[in-house]
Amino acid sequence: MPTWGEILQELRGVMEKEDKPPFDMVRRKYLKKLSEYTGRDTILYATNWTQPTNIPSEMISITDEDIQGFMEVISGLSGPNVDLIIHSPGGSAEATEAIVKYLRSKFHHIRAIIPYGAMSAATMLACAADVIVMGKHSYIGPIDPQVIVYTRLGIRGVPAQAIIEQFERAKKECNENPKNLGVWLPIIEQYGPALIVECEHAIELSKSLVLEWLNNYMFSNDKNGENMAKKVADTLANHSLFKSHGRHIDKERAKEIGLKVENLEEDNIFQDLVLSVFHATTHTFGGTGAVKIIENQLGRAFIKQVSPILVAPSQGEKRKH
Amino acid sequence: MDDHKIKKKEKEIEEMKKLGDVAGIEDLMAVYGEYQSLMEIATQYLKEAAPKFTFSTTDRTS
Repeated sequence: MPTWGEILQELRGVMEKEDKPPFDMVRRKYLKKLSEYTGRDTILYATNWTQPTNIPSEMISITDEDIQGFMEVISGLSGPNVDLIIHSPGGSAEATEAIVKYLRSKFHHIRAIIPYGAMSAATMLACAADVIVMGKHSYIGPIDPQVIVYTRLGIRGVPAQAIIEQFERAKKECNENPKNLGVWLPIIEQYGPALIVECEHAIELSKSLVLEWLNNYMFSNDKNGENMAKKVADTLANHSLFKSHGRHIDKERAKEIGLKVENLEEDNIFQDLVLSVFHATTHTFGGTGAVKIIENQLGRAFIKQVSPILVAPSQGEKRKH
Repeated sequence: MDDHKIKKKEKEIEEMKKLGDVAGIEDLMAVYGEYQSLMEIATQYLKEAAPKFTFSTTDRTS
C-alpha cells in the first residue's frame, strides 16, 4: 500500500524531473487510475481540515459555492455511476441538499468513499449514496446540527439539541423553585427570540433530509427500508447518544447503526488507489495554498485556496471545528 | 531497469504531464501573481516533510 511517505517520495521525484509543482500531476494520476480500475466516474471532494492550520472554517465547509465546483467537475462525465471521495468536516445542510439534488440529477448509482473522515453534513452527504466505503481507520459523525450563538464570551458553535435540553432544564428548575430564575436568566437572555424554534427546525431538517435520502437510495430496494432509514436517521441525529458533535463513528459502529458499509480493505488494488489519491491530496494541502479541491478523473477541478505562508510542515494534531 | 520498465515509466510521466496541463493550482497561483511563492512553498514542503510520529494528549476534534 503506498504510504504517505511513498507518495511524498514520488512528488519529490516529479518535482526534480519537471521543475514545477508536482501536486496536481500526481493526485490526478491516481484519480485517473482509480476511475480506470473501477470503470466508474470519480469525483474527489476534499478540504484541508485534518492538518494543523488557521484556515477560517467557512473556507473548508460545505457551502453553496461548492455547487459551482460540482458543475465544473460533472461537466464531461458520462455517468451513470460515480464514486464520490469525501474528506470534509461538514458545513451547511442546505448546501448539502443542493449538492445531493444536483448529483442525483446526473448519476444513478453513487458510492461514497471515505478514506479518512466525513463529519456532520459530510456524513449527511454520504447518506445520500447507495453505499458507503470505509476503511478500518475511517470515520463519520453525528448529524445533529450546530447553531452559532453570539454569547458574552464570543461566538460559539453549540449543538441545537443541547440548547433545547438546557432550556427544558431551565424551565423545570424554575418551576420547581422560582429563585433559580436568577441563575438561569443570564444564560437564557443570550438565546434571542427565535433560537429554540430555530434549533427544533434545524434538527428536523437534517434528520428529514437523511431519512428521505436513505429511503430513496440506500434502502430503496429493501423490504423494511423505511424502518431501516428511520432507525439510522434517528440514531445519527441523537446528540444525547453521542454526547459530542465531533464524536467519531467508525466502520463497525456505522454498520451496527444500520448503514450499508463496504470494507475498503476488501480489494487491495482499490484500497491502494483510494489511499494514494488521499495521500496525494493531503500533500497538496501541505505544499500549496489549496484548502478545498473538487476534482474529477479527467483533471477538471475547482480549487479554493488561501495565500500560502512558509511554515515548517508537520503531522499529527487536528484542527478544531 | 529494463527497457520495458523505462518506457512504461516515461509513458506514465507523459500522462501525468498531460493531466498537469489541465487548469489547476499552478494556473491559479499564476493568475494571482503568486507563482514564485507557490514554488517556494512546494520546494520547502517537499524538502522538509518527512514521515514522523507525533504524540499528543490534546483532543481538539470536537
